[in-house]
Amino acid sequence: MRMRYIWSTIVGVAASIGVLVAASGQIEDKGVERDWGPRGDGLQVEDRYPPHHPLADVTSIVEATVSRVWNEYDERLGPRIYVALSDVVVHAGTSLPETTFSQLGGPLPNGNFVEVIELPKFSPGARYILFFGREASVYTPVWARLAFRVEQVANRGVVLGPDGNLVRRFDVNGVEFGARHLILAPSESAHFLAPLTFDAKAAAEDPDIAKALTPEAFVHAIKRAAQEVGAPLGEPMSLRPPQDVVWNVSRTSPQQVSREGSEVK
Amino acid sequence: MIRRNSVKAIVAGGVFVASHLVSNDARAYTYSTCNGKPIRWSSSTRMVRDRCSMPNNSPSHSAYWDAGWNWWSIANVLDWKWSYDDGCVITAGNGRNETARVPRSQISGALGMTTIIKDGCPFWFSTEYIIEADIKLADDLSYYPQDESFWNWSSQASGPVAIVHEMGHAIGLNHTSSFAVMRTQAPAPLAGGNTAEPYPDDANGARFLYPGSYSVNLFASAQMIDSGIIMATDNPGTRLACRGGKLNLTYTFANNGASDVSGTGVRIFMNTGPNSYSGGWTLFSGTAVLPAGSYYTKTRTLTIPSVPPGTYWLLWKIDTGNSTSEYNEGDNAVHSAMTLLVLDCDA
Repeated sequence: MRMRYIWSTIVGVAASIGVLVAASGQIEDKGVERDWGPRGDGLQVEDRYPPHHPLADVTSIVEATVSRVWNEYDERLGPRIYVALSDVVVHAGTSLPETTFSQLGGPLPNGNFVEVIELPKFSPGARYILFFGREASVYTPVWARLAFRVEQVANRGVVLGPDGNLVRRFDVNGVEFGARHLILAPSESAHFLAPLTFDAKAAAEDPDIAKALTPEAFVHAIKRAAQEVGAPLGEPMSLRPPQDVVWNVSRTSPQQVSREGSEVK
Repeated sequence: MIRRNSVKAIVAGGVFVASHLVSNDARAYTYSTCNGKPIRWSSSTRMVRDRCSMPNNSPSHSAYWDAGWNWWSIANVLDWKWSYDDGCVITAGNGRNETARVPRSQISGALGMTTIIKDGCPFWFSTEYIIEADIKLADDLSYYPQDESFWNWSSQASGPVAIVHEMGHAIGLNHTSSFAVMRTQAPAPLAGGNTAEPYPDDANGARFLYPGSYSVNLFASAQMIDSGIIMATDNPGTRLACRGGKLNLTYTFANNGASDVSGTGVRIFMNTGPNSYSGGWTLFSGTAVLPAGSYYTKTRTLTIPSVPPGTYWLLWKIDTGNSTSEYNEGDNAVHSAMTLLVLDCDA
């Protein structure tokens, strides 16, 4: 009898643990369902917001030297990589309200590491032409990855895109880059603040060098493109995310779907 | 009446002149490292789609499904067959890999943004693994399949390929400038007519990070890379032509699978519809050799066959004999951006 009681207790505790584990699993996987794929009887229509031209939200285009890059953890905005600017020249639009901005990325307090590959990387001492929007997202205030590095190749100025490719053209249709990466970014995760080296020798031998825009031509082109698109140059802007933004939770875009031909908005 | 010689001159002048191109930069993929070791997932993991912003049976659902299936077929790491609805939020740091559509302003104007959380690389002997990946996609993109032959670099319809690109980040791939979906310079290439899928370089990168998958797939493309820019293989528009006249046609075939393929049938042909992938009039028929994870773009001078006067589409197809068993049999044929108006030049 005593043995039977012990067994029932063990079974009962085990069952309780099982329920707790299952319950915690449900909490962790809230709302998760097996997906069997879209049905084959035709896709429904879903909401689509009017497409924005990448320049249609640009309020400010500046050229500046990155004087310092460092990382800190912010309770609300998470791991941040801070970028300090100096020698700021406003090419179009609003003057910057401050000369420091930050991007998401870096170590978490628990030792984990956050990385956002789409964000531009900045190197201390290098000069950049930067496009800013009305306000920063939790990721960055740099709009649409429009961060261009200015360098010299054989006494000639050139402009490089966020991945280190020469810029050959810039207009309302987009940016045309050269084929080669000319900025060497370290692949080592721990070196996320290390300077990014410009390969001047490879640049001098790059077949795209003759077609590369000079900084002056680039600035002329970006001003013209921004004006053509009707960019809100000069409107108020902020380099900081709004106060209600937190780094790890954000709203998605609710979509209503309907049958083809009766779009719901 | 149009004289044959003048028509020939129009054809020759109008056709995009691409010299015989055979280019293959399919080892250009990049990835992050910890102590020289690639940063990847330690084992396969689950990715869930936000049903709130990407509802069931919507175009974004279809694009998500196709992207996940293609990556899974190449590297069995991201089990995409799951969805969630957590009240229209996406959360980083909750241990769940989520994909959702968000306002463009939330991702600073980008097409997509992937937040990777890794377990750190604190010591000289450490190995670092990805422990979470959350994908945000711009909600103002179209997620309908696009006709790759008319794809252009200013297109806003890049939703399907944006998902494939961001899923590449989610498994550990970084950017490249090659003929690949992981390139940053728009447009990323499509394949097989209207499919967004990993290109050979992307697939090579995925298989390097996650070896052991032996999937096979060939595809046709109407795009090529020239001086770092992706463009249509042939200039869009209708060209005038005569029966028996010559035509320069540029086309791409690729193998994003893990096995070398040789002796597979290829066919270039004309037909009356853009998606008429069988029948028609053959311009060239032969076989191709495509090593695993490679592609080639080629220009061939072809003779226009004796066809009734009219407008024709130019198409090409690989694995014509169905001799290769592929995980995706729907991406083997494509039409050119160029059409032909064949005239009765002898009349």
